[in-house]
Amino acid sequence: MPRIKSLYYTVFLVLCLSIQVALADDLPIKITNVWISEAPPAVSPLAAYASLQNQSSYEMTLVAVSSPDFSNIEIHLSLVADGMARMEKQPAMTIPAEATIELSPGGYHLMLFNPGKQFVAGDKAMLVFTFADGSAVSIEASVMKRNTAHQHKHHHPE
Amino acid sequence: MDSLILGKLNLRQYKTHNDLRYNAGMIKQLSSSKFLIPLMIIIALLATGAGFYISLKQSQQNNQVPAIAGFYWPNTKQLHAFNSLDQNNQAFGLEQMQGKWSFVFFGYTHCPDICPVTMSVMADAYKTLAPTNDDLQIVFVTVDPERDTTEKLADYVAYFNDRFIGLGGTAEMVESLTKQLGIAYYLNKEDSSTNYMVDHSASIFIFDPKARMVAKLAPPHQASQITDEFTTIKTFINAQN
Ligand SMILES: [Cu+2]
Repeated sequence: MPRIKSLYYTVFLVLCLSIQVALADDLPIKITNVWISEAPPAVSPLAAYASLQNQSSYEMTLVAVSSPDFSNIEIHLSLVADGMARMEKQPAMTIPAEATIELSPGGYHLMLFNPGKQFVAGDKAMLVFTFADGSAVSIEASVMKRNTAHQHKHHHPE
Repeated sequence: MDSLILGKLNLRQYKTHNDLRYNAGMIKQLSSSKFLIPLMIIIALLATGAGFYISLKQSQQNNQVPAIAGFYWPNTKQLHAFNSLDQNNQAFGLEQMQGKWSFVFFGYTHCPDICPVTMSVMADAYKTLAPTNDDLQIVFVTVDPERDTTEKLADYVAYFNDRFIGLGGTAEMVESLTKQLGIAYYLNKEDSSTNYMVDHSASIFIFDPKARMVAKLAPPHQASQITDEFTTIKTFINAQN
């Protein structure tokens, strides 16, 4: 009996993995340059950035991001108006057909609440991006130190 | 100037020669002539005039207010007494602002985007400026002292530069600084109990050694622009004394 159980379990795992891979391959959105900025010790939430390129001819809407390493993740937009900075939680983020949206410092970002540990440069965390059509893709994000070069050019770490 | 005058004389006297060798010969001839003394006087007068003109031009430049967006001159804002605590739990007030140039930024440590972006830009600017500006201090003031204890501030500012100062204390202490300067902020406490966000000023304020708020640099911030603007402002204000 235990042997059959573990066989089922293996089959289940293989199935899960293959679905995940298929999703990542078929997804018309290419998510690249995913990075989490290292924060001073004991400081949270963290911010994550990425580049979302919609290669399809229809719009795609990011509705959720989750991770086993954080209690919850929100899509935010940093705004400065009349010299005041604030962050606005976005219920979703739409990427128009054949367009690219950059999540970058001082603009759109992901807010990663309650990290399970102190993340330092070099660490990795898994982020799962879910879209309105039900598709999802999980991507490994690297933790990196901020440097002002990529903060201002809206470029991404090499 | 000399060659111009000599050239003119040359033309008048010799009409065709303007080769240097001939000019040299001409000076020899002139030295014994009646032209020498008036010529020396003219040169001396012109040199004096030029010197006067240059110094006038320089003093005009010193008095010309640099065209920097957010530079308050001459309407600076005098800072008055305030009491706060620094990251080492030491009293920090007006006295600690006097005799120093300060960059002051108001934020909160639970701010993951705008604040660390600004802090790292200030860290870059400080790295460039510190070797030639030992009277410069960088001050982060929390507008969320309830969550940002002085211990937390110590870790926070040291992450960007171990010479940065982090100010906090009680809400009243923070207000003793923000109210007199008209620094606005808003704690969105209705959002959630512990993960609330704070609306805060995104500008970097520059104070001079007389504790006057002399400039407000608006975002987006760039280290090179901050260093340039600070150097211009400091040079200008030092020249006014
Ligand atoms: Cu945010």
